[in-house]
Parts: sequence; C-alpha cells; structure tokens
Amino acid sequence: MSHAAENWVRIKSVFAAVVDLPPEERATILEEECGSDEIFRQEVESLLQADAAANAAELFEEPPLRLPDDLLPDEEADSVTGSSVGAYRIIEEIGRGGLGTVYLGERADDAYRKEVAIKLVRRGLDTEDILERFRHERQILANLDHPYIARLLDGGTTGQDRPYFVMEYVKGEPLTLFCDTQGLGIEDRLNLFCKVCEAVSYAHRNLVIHRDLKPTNILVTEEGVPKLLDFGIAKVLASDGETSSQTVVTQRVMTPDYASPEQLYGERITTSSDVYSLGILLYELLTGKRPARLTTGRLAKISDAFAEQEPIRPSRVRKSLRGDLDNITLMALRKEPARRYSSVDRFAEDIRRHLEGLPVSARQDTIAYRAQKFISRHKVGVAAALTICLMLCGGIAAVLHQDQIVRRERDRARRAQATTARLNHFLQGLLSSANPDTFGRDVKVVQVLDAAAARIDHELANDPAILAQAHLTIARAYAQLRAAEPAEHHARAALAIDLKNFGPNDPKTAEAMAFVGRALQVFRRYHEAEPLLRQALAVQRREPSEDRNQYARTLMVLGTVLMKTGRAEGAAPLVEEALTLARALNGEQSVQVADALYTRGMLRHSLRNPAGAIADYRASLNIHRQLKPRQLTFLDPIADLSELLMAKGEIAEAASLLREGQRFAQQSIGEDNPTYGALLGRLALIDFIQQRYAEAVPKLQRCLATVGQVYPKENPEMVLAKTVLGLALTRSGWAAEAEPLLREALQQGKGVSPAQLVLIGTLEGALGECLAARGKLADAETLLQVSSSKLEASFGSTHPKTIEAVKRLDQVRQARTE
Amino acid sequence: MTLAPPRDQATRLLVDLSRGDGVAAERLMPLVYDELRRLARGYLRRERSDHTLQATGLVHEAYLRLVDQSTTNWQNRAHFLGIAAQVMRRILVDHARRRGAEKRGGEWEKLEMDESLLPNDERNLDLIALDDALQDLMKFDPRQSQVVELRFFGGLTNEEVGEVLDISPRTVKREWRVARAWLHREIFAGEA
Repeated sequence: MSHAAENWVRIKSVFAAVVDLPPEERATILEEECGSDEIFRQEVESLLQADAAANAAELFEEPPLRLPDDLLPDEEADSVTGSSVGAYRIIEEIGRGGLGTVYLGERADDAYRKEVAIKLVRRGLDTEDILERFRHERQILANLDHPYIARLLDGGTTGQDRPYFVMEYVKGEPLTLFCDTQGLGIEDRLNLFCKVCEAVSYAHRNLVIHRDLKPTNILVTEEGVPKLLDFGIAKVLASDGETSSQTVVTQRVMTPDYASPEQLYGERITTSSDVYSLGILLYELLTGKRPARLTTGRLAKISDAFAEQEPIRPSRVRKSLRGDLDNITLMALRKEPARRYSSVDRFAEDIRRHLEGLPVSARQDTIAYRAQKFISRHKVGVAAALTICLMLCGGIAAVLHQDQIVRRERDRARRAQATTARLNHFLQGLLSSANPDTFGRDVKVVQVLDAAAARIDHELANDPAILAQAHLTIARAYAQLRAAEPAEHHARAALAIDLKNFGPNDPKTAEAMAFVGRALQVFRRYHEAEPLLRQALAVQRREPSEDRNQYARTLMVLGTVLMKTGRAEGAAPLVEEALTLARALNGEQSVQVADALYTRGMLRHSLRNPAGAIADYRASLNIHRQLKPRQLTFLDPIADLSELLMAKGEIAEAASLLREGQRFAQQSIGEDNPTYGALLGRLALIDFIQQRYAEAVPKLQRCLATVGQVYPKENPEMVLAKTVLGLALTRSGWAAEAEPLLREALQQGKGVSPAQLVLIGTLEGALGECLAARGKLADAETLLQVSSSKLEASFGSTHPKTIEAVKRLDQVRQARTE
Repeated sequence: MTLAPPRDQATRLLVDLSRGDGVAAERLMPLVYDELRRLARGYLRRERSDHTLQATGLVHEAYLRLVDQSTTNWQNRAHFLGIAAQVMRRILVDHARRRGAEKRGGEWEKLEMDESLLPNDERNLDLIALDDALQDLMKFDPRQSQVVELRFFGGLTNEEVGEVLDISPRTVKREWRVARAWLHREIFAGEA
C-alpha cells in the first residue's frame, strides 16, 4: 500500500466532488484539480471506473448480506456437483436465487455438447409452498417460446425428490451493465428496452406476469439480444383456477428496489406491476439511478418510504430527458396501477412514438390530481411544510390554541364554529391552488401562503367578518415564518376591516390591533408597535370580561416593547401586572404564568440583572416541566437561558438545557420542524466553539434542512448556519465539500450584520480559510484581505477576531511566497 | 463464582465499556458471537423464504435480545452495534475460509465466479478477498475500513454507522462510496 495519507485524503475529496457529475463537468473539474499530475489523475479515474463497475455489479448493494445457508455445518452436505440430473451432468454452481441454486451443466450422454443452466430447489427450502411454486414456474416456462426469453429445455424431479429444471444457458451481461459497458446512447437504450417490453408483453399475452423484473434478470448477449430469466415468481393469470387463488397474496418474494407499491403492500398483482418494474428499469437506463434509493433492508420501512416518495422527474437527473421521456417514465411509475399504462404494449408504443418524433400519450398528471396529492401529503404530515400547513388545513382553531385564547373561543363556541368551518373550507380551497406544477416540488410553505394570500381579498370580498379572520390567520402564519412584511400587511388588513365594521372599541378590533403590535414587536419595529398596543390595551382593559388573558398578553407585549426600547423601568409595572393577573386567573402551575415569568426574565435581563433573569427563566422552565401536556413556549426560556449561560461560560449547563429542549422538540414537534432545527443549530454552535467540528456538521445539516423549509436562503440566520457548517466541514477535513456552501453563503450574505457573524469572523474570511485549505492560495489571500479589513472596521484592530484574521492572512501570504 | 445470564453480563459489559473499560469489549465479543450464531441457526431452521432479509436484521436482533435497553443509552447501543458488526465479519469470513479449505481438501476446484454469468442477483462477493482488502484499507484509512465493516457486515444504516463512528450520515455515505470503489478495484484488479 503506497498511498501517502495526505494524497489519499486529496483523492477522496476529488472523487467525492466529481463522482456524481456528468462526464463533461467531471472532466473540467478533474483538469482543474489534477493539473499535470497524471498519476493522481489516473488514480482518481480508476476509482471512478471502479465506482461505475461497483454500481453496475451491485455487489455491495443492500441488503449487503445473505446468510449463507451453510453458515452452520450442514449435516447433509450439498454434493450435487458431478452428479446427474435427468440427461444432464452438473458441472458447477453459477448462482443462487430466492428459490434455488443454479448450476452450469451439460448433457450427460455427450450426444451433443450443449451448455445449460440447471436450477435446483435449494435444500432446506423445499417446503410444500416452495415446491408448489417451483412446479408452477416449470410449467410456465415450458409454455413460453420467445427469442428474448430464456428457453426451458427440460424439467423433472431428482432422485431425492428435488424438483429441477434445465434452461437455456445465457452468456451475457445484466441489462444496465451492458448499456454502460457498451456506452449506449439514449436511442440505443430505448430500442433495447423496447425489445425487453416485447418479451414481457409476449409473456403477458400468455397470461404470465414476471413479477421480478430487474437488470440481473435481463441478460444481454454479445449480439445485443436481451434474454429474460427467472420467471421464479411468475403467476399464471386466471387461466387455471388452482393457482390464481393461491398466489394472490403469496409471500413477498421480490426485489424491493424494483417492486411496485402493490407488491410491497402484498396487494393484488397484475400485469401493471410489470409495467411499474419496467418503469424503474427505464428510469435507471436513462438516468443511471433508480428513482427511490432505499437504504434499509427492512420491508416495513421500505413500504413506508415508498408510499410517501414521489419519484424525482428523470429530467432533474439529466436535463436532456425533459418532456416526453419524463412523462413516459413517470406514467409507468404511478403509484396506482390503474393510472399507469394499461399494458406493456402501450408503454413500448409510446417509446417508439417518441423515437419517431410523434406525439406520445403520456401526459403530466393533471393539476387537480397533483394538487390533491399535495394537500393530502401535507395533511398526513409527510411534507416539509408540516407545521404551518397543518395550521392552515386544520383551520384557525389550531392557531387560536397556539395563542392560548382557545378559552375565549369556547365561550363563543357556536358563533366561532360557523366562522371557523367556513374559513377552514376556504383555506383548504386556497391550498389546492398551491400545486406543485406552479411551484415545483420544493414548494415552501411561504409560497403556499403567498398564493393563498393573493386570493382572499377577491374571494371573500362579500364576507368581511370572515375576510378579517382570514387575514389574521394568514398574518399569524407569516409571523411564524418570520416573514415580517406580509405578516404586518395582513394584520393591518384585518385591522382595517374590523375598524370599518366594528369600530375602534370592539374587542375584535382590539385583537387585530394587538396582533399588529405583536407582529411589529417580533420584528423589532417597536416605535410603530407601541401606539397600537396601547390602544388595544385600552379597549381590552375596559372590557375585561372577554378574556383577561388576552389583556395580560397585550401587557406583556407592550412591556417587551418598552424594555427593548430602553425603558425597562417603564415596562416593569406592566410586566408585573401581567404576572399577577396570570397567577390570579390561572394559578401558579399554568402556561400563562410560565410565559409571564419568561417575559419578566427578559425584563430583568435588560435591567442588567442577569442573576434575576436566570432565576425567572429557571422558574418558568420549572413550571413548564410540570405542565401536562408540556407547552411549546417551553422552548422560549430554553433559548434565552442557554444564551445567558453561554455568556457566563457555563457551556456544559447550556448544552444540557438545549438537549432537554431538543428531546422535547423531538417528541412534540418532530425532527422536521424548524424550531427543532434551530435548537440543533445552537447545540452545533457549542460544538463549534469547543472545536468539535465533526460533531457540529450533522446538526447544522439538519438545522439547515429544517429551517430552510420556512426561511428564505438569504435569511441571515440561514446564511450564518451555512457558514458555520462550511467552516466546520473545512476544519474537519472536507474543504472541497465546504467550498460551494461558503460561496453560496457569501453570495446570499448581504443582509447579515457584522455583529451576527462575530463568532466566525466574516463570510469572506470563512471562504478564504476554506480556499486556503484547498490550496487555492491566490483567491484565499484576496478574501482574507477583505475579511481582516472588515473586522478591523467593525470591531477594531485589537479584537480577537481581527487578530485571528490578520494572522491567517499572514500565513497564506507566507505560504504563497514559499 | 456463578455466571450471570448472558443478557445481564452483556448489559453490564456495555456499561463498563462506555466508562472506558477497554477489556469489556473483548469479554463482550464471545457473548455476541454465541448470540449471533444462535440467531442464525434459528433463522435457518425456520426455513424462511425471505432469505435476503436475514443477515441485515441479525445484528439488531442480537442487540434487542442481549441488551437491557432500560439501563442503557444510545451510546451503549452504538458500541454494541460496532462490536456486533466486527463479530459478524469474523463469523462470515471464517466461514468462507473454512468452506474454501473444505473444497480444496475435497478435490473441489475453487469456484470461478463470473458475475456476468449469474442468472440472478445473488451476491457472489468473495468475502476472503474482501476481508484481505479491508485489512489493507485499515492501514491507511481506518475509519473508512470501519464504515465498510459496519455497513456491509453489520448491515447498519448510514445513520447507525454515523452513530457508531460519531460522524454524519453524509460522511458515512461519502466514505462508503469511495471505499466501495477502492475495494472493487482492489478485489477485481487483474480480472478485467
């Protein structure tokens, strides 16, 4: 082994960088990375070749292991080699399948030399069920006579009552491997695929379903002739009553990667199942990948994954496939058998029409269908957009609950129910307009919301009460997404309508007004928030019967506004009143008190009383810990307290607190929720500070994936997380991976303030460090130069970050001169 | 001295292991070894037809049977999976060697495996060659060698491998991809 460790690390990173790229791009990057180092380049290229071969051979595919059936000493050792089976002599084993072992054989009487494949039922598996299936297979094959199907030559039972059959020995390569080794283009692949369809269609006409179509069951000879093997789990269609009843729900014998959903679920299998498997084959032939990569061998999990996954359009893998081939492939891959091609012939026909430039019958799914799928996906909570869509789909009740004003809702249940139902219905209608055709598959909740928001004025124009509620609901959703402007816009719209209909002194108007104030507070526009909150408070104070908790909440928000604008002393009485009120209304062990304590904690924090703040946060947490069910606002004091603890250097406690929050978030809102991701992000920062870069990486990835569902890419926190991820990758030896991330972050980072970045320096500095690690010293120097100037301007020349940046710049300069 | 049942022993050893007791791992191995073989024997007796799914679950099943989850944590689990994968590799490779030896002794010629001849998708990877190659890989990239051991022999998912090695699933995936290519080249070098 002559690999110098360093060289190997470089080889790995170049390999990883290019392995999934199309050939042209590969070549460019290899050129760039290897330069004149031919040996290095050959090394990478031979690995890439081996990767392709490993892909095709599937030797390492999951499930990675089968249990050798002779793992334990077999009393009746298999000694068939050399023995005779019918007129044939077994020469050697050439393979094993689910049902039996396949041997290479030749005629025993030497009348003429002819190589055959002999399939013998595996010992230990010859239960009645298997024997029945095996006899069945023998019968089916005998009936099939087609140039593209391996011929059955003979069959019978051995002396020990083991069934066998003898079939044409095919020397060839699995379909996908053949196409790759021959370097076939799309057109040749399609033509070959049509031949495969021909054979399957022939079998279907003879009432035989293959049920296990996959590349290794379709060998292609040197002459380019495909041969279908192994009708081992085929079933005869209704032709004979005996088999039809028995095989409908047979045990699941198939290869999960190519199985149709109905096979995975053990449902009725028809010719359409073969259409599906052929669809996967076509997909793989066109793109080099299977549509859904299954990463576990456990059947239940596979079924789950399948049910929820829509295949990615082939054109997303290879652009040139856009249009017909996209539609054709996806039509074969539809989950519901009835919506696929009605026959293999129709499937092949479309491919032929495509080759001849004629219009094809496959169409994209209808908009209505996909919109419906979209909603149902969101409803069952699979899609990314989980929380917010649930909120919209579930109607405003959920929203109201989140604001702890469900109590009031109950008081006026009857009236509200009618409104809620109508609003609910309306919002669902809006969501159906948000179909993937309009947005693409990566639709973000905020886009759905935009689409909904764009329509409500028009559609609810003649029902102002509902329109106002709809605006407020949408405003809340935007607020949760931290989309400041639209949240404010819709809250104001609700307010305007309420003002017009009910006047300024109505509790409904006050609710909208308080919400506008809250939105403004969340988005730190305190001076605009204040008058609204004061006005709302005046109304709510006059009409305390409606819901005193509403009033207490407004007190807290106004208190927050005051403390954030340097008037913490003025906030104190409001916050204390809110706390007292919360205690009186709900008792100590209530979410209202927990929230009020949290607010007072913030107050004490801004009064420079960190010890008091910490005490309040802890008290709030202790109440939360007793509450059943635990409330989501539990996560608020965790965030603030962990920050205070970190500032005090009590990182271990901060970490344990964040982990507590993480566990709760995991159970309550799930690992796909952005709030969960944000907690992980904080934990990752601790990893980063403590220089456990490798541990920070997966957390940040999760953080980005989840928070990315709701935040635009340009959101400062997103950019920050991405940059920290890039640095963590760089520092754990994955600079090549980090580079694109850091470039992206730099591009998107215009809105990020220097203070937000102080932990990591600057975006330029991060990319510079990465490029330096990759040996791109010239670019690194430029970036590090910018970085140290910026840091000096923001924090002064004696700030540790500035000093660090200057030091790094010097290092790079020195390296360049060497 | 009376011996505690294997389950109690294994659980205690795992806890010891996470406290840094290096000897615990060695004492755990024979327990895992016995359990894995016992499970394997059970599977074979049951004549299950979903053959392909057996080995993948074995390591997990051994964990469920051998370790008391109420007194252990995920780190213990990660340790266990790591050890079990190692044992699984030993069992399978030893078996392959033994079988090879038997065949040579019994005038059997070593089977020539031409993958293009295979009429089904049976994995005819030469485990002995793989084991040898892995040992080579171990010398210059121990982590990558472990990734292969855990994923291939242990049947662990990327996430689980990540847990055992304390790296991200994405890194596992990447290491696996390179390792696979490297091993493929190593094993089939000269055969092309």
